[in-house]
Amino acid sequence: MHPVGRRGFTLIELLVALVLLGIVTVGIYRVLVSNQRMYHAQTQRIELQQNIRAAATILPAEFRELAASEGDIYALSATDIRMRAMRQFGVLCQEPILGGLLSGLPVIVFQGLHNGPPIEGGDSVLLYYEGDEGSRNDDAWWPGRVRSLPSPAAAPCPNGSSGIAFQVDLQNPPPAGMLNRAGAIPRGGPMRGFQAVRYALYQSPTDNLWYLGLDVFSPATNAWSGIQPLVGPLSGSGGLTFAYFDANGVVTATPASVALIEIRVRARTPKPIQRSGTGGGLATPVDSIVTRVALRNNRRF
Amino acid sequence: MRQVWRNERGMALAVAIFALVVVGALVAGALFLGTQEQRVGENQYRLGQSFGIAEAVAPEFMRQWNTDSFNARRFYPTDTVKLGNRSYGARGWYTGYVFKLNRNLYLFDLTGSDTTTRSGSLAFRRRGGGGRSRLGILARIRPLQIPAHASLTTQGNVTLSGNAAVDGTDQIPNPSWTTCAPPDTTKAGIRMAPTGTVNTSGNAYVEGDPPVLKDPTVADSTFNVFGDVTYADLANRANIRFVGSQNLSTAPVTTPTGQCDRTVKTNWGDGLNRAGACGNYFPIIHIAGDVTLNNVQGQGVLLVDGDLWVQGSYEFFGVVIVKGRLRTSGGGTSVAHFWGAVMAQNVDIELNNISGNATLNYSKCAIIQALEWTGLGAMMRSRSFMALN
Repeated sequence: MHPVGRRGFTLIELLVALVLLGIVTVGIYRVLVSNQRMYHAQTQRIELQQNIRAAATILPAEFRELAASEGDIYALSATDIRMRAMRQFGVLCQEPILGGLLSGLPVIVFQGLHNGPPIEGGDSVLLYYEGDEGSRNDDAWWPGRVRSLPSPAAAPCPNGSSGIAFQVDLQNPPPAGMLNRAGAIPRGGPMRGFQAVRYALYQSPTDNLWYLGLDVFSPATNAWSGIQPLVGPLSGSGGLTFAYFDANGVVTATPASVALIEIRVRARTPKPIQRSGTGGGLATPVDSIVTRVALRNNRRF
Repeated sequence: MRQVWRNERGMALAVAIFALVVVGALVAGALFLGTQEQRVGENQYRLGQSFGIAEAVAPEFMRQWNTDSFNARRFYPTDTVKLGNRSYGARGWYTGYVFKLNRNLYLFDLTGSDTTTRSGSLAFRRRGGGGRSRLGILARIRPLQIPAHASLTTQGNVTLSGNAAVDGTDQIPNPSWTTCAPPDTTKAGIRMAPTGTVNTSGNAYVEGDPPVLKDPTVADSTFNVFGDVTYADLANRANIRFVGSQNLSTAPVTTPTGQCDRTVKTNWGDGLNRAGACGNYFPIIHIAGDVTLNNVQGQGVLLVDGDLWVQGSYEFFGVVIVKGRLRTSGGGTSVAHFWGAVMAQNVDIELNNISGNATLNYSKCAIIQALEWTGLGAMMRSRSFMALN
């Protein structure tokens, strides 16, 4: 009898093959699951670190430009700060007419030196006040608001270079010590545009998680727009704390005395991840960062 | 006979390949995420370094303020100082621009980059490697707090004779001073210690509001401490120095190409013609001894450790601080010997043969411009720092 044409396996062979296949499949499955968990965990940790990094980038950048001694901090607490956030920079290309004029002050800034978003009606601005040019002691910044009508528009500077023209309503009456006289705001004087903002610890009603929230004051409605989550989720009600120090390094609660702000951010992964090791179970890893920011624009003397 | 199976149909290889592909994809994904995260971290680190460099450079400019490079510039947009790529030690590089916004204000537009970013390959930079940081710093000329509340400030007695005059009325020196603000209020003619006396004879007179101000605050410090700058600090900053007694004639000097020749020690600028090549040259001159000036002119800040004797038709524009005594004589055809403010600790003015013109005229414009062109910059009082996009 010839063996050619013989088909099939014996039962023993089949069982051995099935067992071997099962072992291999289980091994592969465990490797896959382990890899998938590792991938998920790494993604979550990366997101956690990105959140911390974002908070550690955004807040110091905002706080650095504060001039607390000039009234840039409206209110402060351990989890909340309301402040002027600088957004625009410009340089006046002609001396505005003063000597009594407080509303509708015509201003033109150099297009070439403008930095930041376009100037729009309703923007809050600070105009550099030179006062006596022979002294630095009276140098200050005069707050005002850009008029909506006429809208800020391109216009030539007196020397022919490109400019942006708009009108400013200065704070009325002039701040203490400032005289509304000709030449007090000079040609070449800088202008800063700012936005009133609030950074605070915020619990979202949709997911009950805690976030670093941002609220922006709307000049149009003369009200805060409503806080929105900016960075998170944070670890909980202790996820964000601010500490304020004066020039001597002493903790202060007086907005005008703040010289340094300590930021503590404690964030968590957006989703729980599997614990490593044999213990198993889900966990929500937490990471934190502490940074201190010196306010660069406080009055120097 | 050994059998050979030609149609084996196993699936182990396919399963193994599938598993390898899946595992490979997961590992590759994890590796990609990890690499991205590492790059972000590295760039964040470099960004921090770049920011540090850009921020550290600004105070260096303030500390080593270059009046020739900065003060002598015209206003933006006519003129701009471009800073080439410069090394900041082993830590990185910076570049940028300096804009003169007006007589007192400057904008430093600085971009810092760390060493790795700077030296990185094009491919490194194309894939987003490295960090740069751009900052704006506002600087303001730090004016000397010279209490020039009078045409002449002195601790000693003053004697005026002949046609000598000391006038506290704010005046613009001559028509070539085109950027002067309208005249300020009239200042005192002579400001002196309460014990001082003023004697006039002949046609000499003192004019001002008041003509003579007896001020008990006039003391040695009035002539030695000017805000946060001392007389010695000023002397150390002098562009032109003479040691020992001098007899000088000073006048503007130009190079063959028409530039102001600042290497000539007797070139003290051109206040008679501000439109000239030396019109914006305001040196600080320090004379460690007595000096006699006779012909023609000078401007800036003149510091004399000893006595100052002005003869003939010499004219000086700016601030004069004399530790010894001041003597003037002659006058020739010039309108005045001094435009600005004179401060002398011991003064004995004797004037002879002056043809009826004033001798010491207060000029706020001459003072401000002398201080502006010799002034050093400092960070603005507040809001000097800004992040630029």
